[in-house]
Amino acid sequence: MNALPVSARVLDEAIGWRLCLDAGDADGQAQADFAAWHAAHPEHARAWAQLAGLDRQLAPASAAPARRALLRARPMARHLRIGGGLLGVLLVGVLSLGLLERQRPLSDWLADELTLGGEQRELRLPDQTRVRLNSRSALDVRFDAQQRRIVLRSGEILVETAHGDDRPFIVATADGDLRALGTRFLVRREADGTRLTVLQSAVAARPAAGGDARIVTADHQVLMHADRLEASHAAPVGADAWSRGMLVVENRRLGDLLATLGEYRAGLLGADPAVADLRISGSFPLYDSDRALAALPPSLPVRIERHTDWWVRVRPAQP
Amino acid sequence: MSAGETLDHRGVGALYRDHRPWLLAWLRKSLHCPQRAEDLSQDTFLRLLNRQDLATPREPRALLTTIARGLLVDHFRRSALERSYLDELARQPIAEQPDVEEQALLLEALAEIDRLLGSLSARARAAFLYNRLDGLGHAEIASRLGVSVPRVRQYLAQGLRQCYVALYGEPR
Repeated sequence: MNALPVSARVLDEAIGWRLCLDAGDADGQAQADFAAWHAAHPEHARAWAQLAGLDRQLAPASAAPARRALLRARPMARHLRIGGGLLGVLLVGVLSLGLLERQRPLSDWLADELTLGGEQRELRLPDQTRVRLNSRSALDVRFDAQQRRIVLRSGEILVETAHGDDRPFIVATADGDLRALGTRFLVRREADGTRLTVLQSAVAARPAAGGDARIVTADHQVLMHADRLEASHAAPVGADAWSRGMLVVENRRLGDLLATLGEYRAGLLGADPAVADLRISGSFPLYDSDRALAALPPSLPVRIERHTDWWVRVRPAQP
Repeated sequence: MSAGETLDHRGVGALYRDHRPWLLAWLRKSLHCPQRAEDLSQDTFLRLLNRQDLATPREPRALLTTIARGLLVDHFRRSALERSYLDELARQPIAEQPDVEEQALLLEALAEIDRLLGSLSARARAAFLYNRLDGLGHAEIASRLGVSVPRVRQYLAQGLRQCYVALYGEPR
């Protein structure tokens, strides 16, 4: 068998078919569609054979002891040094130079905590502060005797600080420091800065270049650049909706909306370039993207084209 | 050697000369076994030699510890896997235990599978193994893991993709 990797598109299609046929509900039509896909190009057949090759690799794990050992080998406990002594043990995700997501910087993979596309996770820090990581986020926990510091490398977090710890709680990014004043807030890394949205009480924001900190109060939002803070304005409704499994957008590009929904969905979800720039507002369930897709045609001139559940495209409505 | 150039054999040689004792001391802090620290410090430089594309680092020690940290993680992972496997084996009737040589081969294979599964979360790992090894359906896995069926599909897609990349390389 040719071991050369196939293209990313063909691999996604092959995985989509694998899941589709594996689900056991593939009807005659789906079987015929699959046969047509398999025969359409040698690369398709190669991808399919390669996926089958995977199972042979897994075979040694079929004995029960081997399986149980593999299932237990997951998150690793790492000791966190605080002020020179071992004060706490923090469970961290598996550090791995995984290649699952190509576009992520190497530094993300070395972070203490990270989430993949479509994954959200909640952490309980040693001081009982709760941090929820949105999809594709990475952070380091740097607590010491003087401060409780989180370094947000990428993505977005929702922080709910715990009471009863005198050390300041700071979320740091390349753009500056955000110091919590007993509170609940969102921090998101964007292409050109760090966006702070305060949901409860207040947060002091100080850009990396120094200068005075500004206090941002509840229901306000500010974009921080390394050298300055932009003006604060009212926080949009639903900024933290993702933490409850919803996506609330206002005048968003359809292509961007589908990209976000696609992260939470197995298989391919794409937009025809002819409709990708349409604008849309509304709220959509992240974990039920079929329902989200069904909500598109009434408000936009689009139709949903399904090749299987795992291969869906949004196209212009037929004239 | 100056910043901006790529790191060649001579560059790695210079790094070895200047920083190896320091790296060894760094590794010894994390490992009880001096021989193991020695091995991992050699592996760190081997990795460097095998990287063609690396620019000469501004902060060589940061680069070395990044690589060494990865190797340490692999090392601890592997020892943990070995321990759990031997624990599990000890619970089997003696008659069903493979002999020492077979055990060593199986451990080798397990470490390889563990590498394939790589960064998959615990649940994704479980979903993937239930599906691939036991042939469990999506709904059955969903109820065992207490997650939704779409979530299971997502885990399986992640698993297939992750293993594919580990085995055949990044898709083009």
